[in-house]
Amino acid sequence: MSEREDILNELKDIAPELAKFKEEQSGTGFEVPPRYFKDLQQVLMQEVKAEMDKQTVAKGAAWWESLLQGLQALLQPKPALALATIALLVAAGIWFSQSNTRLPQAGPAMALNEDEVEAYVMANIEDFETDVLIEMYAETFREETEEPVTEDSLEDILQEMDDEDFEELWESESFN
Amino acid sequence: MQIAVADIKDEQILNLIQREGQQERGFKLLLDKYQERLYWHIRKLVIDHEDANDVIQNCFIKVFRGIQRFQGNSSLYTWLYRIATNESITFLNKKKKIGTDSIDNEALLLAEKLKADVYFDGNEIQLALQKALTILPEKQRIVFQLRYFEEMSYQQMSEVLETSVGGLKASYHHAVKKIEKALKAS
Repeated sequence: MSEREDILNELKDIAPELAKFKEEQSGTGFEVPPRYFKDLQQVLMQEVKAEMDKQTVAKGAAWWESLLQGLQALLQPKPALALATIALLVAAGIWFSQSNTRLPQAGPAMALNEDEVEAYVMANIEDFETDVLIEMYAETFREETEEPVTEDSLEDILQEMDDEDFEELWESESFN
Repeated sequence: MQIAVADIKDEQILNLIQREGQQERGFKLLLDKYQERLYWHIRKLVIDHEDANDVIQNCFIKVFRGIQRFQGNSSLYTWLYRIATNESITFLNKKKKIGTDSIDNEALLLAEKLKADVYFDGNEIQLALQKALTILPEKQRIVFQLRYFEEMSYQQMSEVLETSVGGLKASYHHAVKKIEKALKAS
């Protein structure tokens, strides 16, 4: 049974006159101007478009407003100090991590072979303190040295030294 | 083959409206399907065409603002009728505050107004029914209209008016009895 039939049966029980009236009359007598619903739809669509535009502007304004509020909050003394501290810690962290990664690369590059060490010593021999060299030599080769080493004899001694002697001298405790 | 507007499902309309870039198309379909029905519902409540025209525009602005958040807890059909009904009640209450006429005077004024209205072409019985409706309290009038003219089930009316089915049956019974009496008297 349809809803309409339900309604009519219900009315017949409680209001037979009204039931008869409903069966006979289909309309209400109300009318609208010609083309009204077509025009109404156009008006409503225009209003909807205006609402959509308002919403778009409101969304953009809300985004900008929240950005400004966020910036203002960050520029307050306490948050600004906290932010600066964090930035400093992050920068320090980055700097240290980069320094650590550089060290292992620099190690092998700085390793020198014996020839290079000897060449360096000979080229910069004048930079070494003569007293220190004499002392080092005397201590390292104590047993082999018959005569005390002097500044005059030091150059001859150095000329006579071979690779092994230099190595022994570098590895001696007096050098380290 | 063109699909009739009445065949378009409410879910399809809602999907379009809630999808980015398809809002306008979805809303046009919503108007195609519901604007006339809602207009007639409002018109029967507020009577005057110009008043109904104002109310339906406010009603659809509210629908547009609210439809993005429409959860589907009730059907779109009953949700739309709820908004239209509430907008009409708000309008009538505003009008009541301005006017100071008694119910009897209101009925007489309405009869005169309808006779003079170029957009009312009802016969004597239709006019008598409209006059009888003015004697009903607001709630009974709305219940009567939804059942008698819109042919809604009590369940649908319950969703529109957010009232129990039992309460609605009682209201409708009282309304029908009063109108029957008024029609016999006229």
